Amino acid sequence: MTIRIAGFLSCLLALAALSFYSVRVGSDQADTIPEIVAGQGVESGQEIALTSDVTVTEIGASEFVAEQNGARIRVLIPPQLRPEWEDTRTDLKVGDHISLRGVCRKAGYLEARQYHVHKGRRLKIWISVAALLVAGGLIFKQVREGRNA
Amino acid sequence: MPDLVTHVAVGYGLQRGLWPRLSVWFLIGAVLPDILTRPFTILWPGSFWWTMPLHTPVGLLLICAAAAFLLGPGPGFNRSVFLNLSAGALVHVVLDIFQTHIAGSYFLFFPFSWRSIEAELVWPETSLYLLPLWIGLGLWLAMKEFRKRRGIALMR
Repeated sequence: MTIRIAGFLSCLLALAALSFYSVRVGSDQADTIPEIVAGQGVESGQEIALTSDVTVTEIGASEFVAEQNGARIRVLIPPQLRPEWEDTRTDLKVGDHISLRGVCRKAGYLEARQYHVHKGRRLKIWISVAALLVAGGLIFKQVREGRNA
Repeated sequence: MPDLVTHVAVGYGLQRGLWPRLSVWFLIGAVLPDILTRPFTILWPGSFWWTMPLHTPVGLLLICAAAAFLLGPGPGFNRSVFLNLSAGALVHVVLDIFQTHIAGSYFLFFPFSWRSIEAELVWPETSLYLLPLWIGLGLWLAMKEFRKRRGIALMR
């Protein structure tokens, strides 16, 4: 019993250490809009990448406004991305999730280099919730049948 | 991540179809990385770096070991629980590698390296196109199970 408790607690402690290390060092690996807006560690001309928890709040002819954790920034679409943007714009809605790579500009906006609209993200989340219930049922059935060795 | 339907379908298919010696812990392992991380990152995106280690091989091995220490019926470490959970989690990680992200991908060698590796074949939502296949397969399995049960009931 002592071995089990010691082993279990050691694993939890190691996981806690990994989480602290991840928060301390990992947050430098990704950019966020609040950091860019506040100018924290992000310089003009620097290339940044934003994850899929960024949402679109305004859509213009050659730009859009992106929001993350309450902070907003204007994203300009350069001429080389305009043909792709024209196609995207017809289907893009306020509230859609988007991830993007772009360049910070001194005037307080981003110039897009690459973007991807995560159209099915909400559907994927709800379908995954349903799948979790199905998985729970399958696991319960197997445990009842005695396949949990 | 591909959607959880894909992970459940592949996990269940491998466990019950291809290799029946695998226990139910394999199926739990196949969904474990997303269960441990996604509810938090979806509801509180700021928690990403706190939960990120739970979606890496080293973090998952620690979780599987913790489960093996805690849940085993024996006096110490339950090897079967550990191996089945780890194998399921490994299948999950392998499926995730096929994706592409602009940012926020997977750090497979964490905590030794921050290099993220992906095959960059499909966007995270692309797996939704496989849904009709999984639903069809699920219905077929349910029908098979229903017929088997009806057959047993008629024999009685």
